[in-house]
Amino acid sequence: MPAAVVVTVTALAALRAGRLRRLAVAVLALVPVAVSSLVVNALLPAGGGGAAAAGAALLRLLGATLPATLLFATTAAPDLLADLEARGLGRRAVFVLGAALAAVPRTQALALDVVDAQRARGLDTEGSWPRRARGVLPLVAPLVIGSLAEVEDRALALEVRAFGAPGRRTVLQRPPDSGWQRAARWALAGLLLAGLAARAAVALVAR
Amino acid sequence: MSIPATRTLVLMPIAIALNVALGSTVQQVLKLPIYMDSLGTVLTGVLGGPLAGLATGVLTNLLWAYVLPPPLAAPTAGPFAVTAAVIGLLAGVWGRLGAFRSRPASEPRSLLLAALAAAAVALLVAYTFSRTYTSPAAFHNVTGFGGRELQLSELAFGLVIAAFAALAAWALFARRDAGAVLALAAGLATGLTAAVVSAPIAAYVFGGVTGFGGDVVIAVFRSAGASLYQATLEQGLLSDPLDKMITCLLAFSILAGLPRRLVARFPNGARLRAPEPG
Repeated sequence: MPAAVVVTVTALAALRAGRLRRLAVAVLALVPVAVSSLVVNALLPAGGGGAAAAGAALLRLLGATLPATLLFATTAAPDLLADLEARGLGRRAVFVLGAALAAVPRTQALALDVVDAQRARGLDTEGSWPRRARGVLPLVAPLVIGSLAEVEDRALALEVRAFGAPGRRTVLQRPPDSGWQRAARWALAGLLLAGLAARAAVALVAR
Repeated sequence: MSIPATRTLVLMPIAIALNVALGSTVQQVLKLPIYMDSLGTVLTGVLGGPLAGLATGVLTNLLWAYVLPPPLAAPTAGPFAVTAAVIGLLAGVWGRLGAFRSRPASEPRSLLLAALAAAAVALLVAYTFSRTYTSPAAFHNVTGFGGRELQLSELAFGLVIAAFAALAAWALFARRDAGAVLALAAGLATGLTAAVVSAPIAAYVFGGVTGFGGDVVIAVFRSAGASLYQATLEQGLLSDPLDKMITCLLAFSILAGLPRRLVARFPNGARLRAPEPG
């Protein structure tokens, strides 16, 4: 039930922000999970939770996934990281998160290049499974070794820019933040605490 | 901050990207039932230490689940960040203990170590077998499963052991490296731990499904009469050790093939190579 509320609120917010399509894509990505959940829980003879349990699990999953999806559909991750750094998140954490986000598409493209190159050299991707298993190392090794070689260049580049030097950094660009937004954030944090307290109270009374 | 520490810090985002790239391409391209989404985590743990491995595992799953845009996103990965953390932490511990060091099979000492590792695994197997699989009654006492589960579980147990023996033999005879046996044993231990950690997550958060190939295995165990929790645990105990053994063997082979100067620059590099002869 709470999950249903979360999903509804997220959908309304997405509608308001004009990102409903992006949210729908995220929901579609969960379809295989839903089908598989129905099969395991409802269709098999050995009594599972049934279709209701499958539905509840799926709703929980949606409730946990959609708000985060919406956040990153409406907020540019570099802006979020810059603001977090200005608010005191360590620059190492900011670097790891930001660099990981930047590295994923690059590595993905590299992986596809490796696949194409190895196919051109006769990598078997259609044969029997022992033949396919022989392809694991040729696919993995170039990608990993190429990425590890990159580490040295980047580490030196960071050190040259005094990444490891002590002291606070000045953040030059801060995203706009109005008084209303600040008030709304505090209100939401308060609501979260109130919700947790209510949850705990209900649990205590039930006991 | 020292330069080796900066290297570890740079390795982490690259390892995260490797996890995502390998996890989403290898399975698709080769159509093999292996996840391959923790190689970067294991490498970071082995090269940079337990904490670096832990952080890489957690961040991989969180970014994968919540931040990456849809074609790449894996919405079910989020809660399994706990499992990824354990994998990275263990990889770091194995790295510190020197389980990923390359040891030429021509040296009697490394052969002895490999034999010891194999003996430890064999002992564990013998103990488990004698406690659990000798009769349906014993099986019921230990696991609480019914008789029908026995055959399936036995099959899974046999598969894991056969894979360990085959991979160890391949490492010893084809690659002539006794250190690989230690890496395999580390992978087996990591996989077993990962299975135990992730089964409750799969069962209670997702109702037993993750949308990947393992769901078929869960369905088979369910139809044999296991409860949801038992079925997810059995599936994990089958596929996690296999996956982590392959991952650790790959990590070992790649590390053994890297130039010495590259490995030595990481905090844990000294434990991954034998000292320079002479």
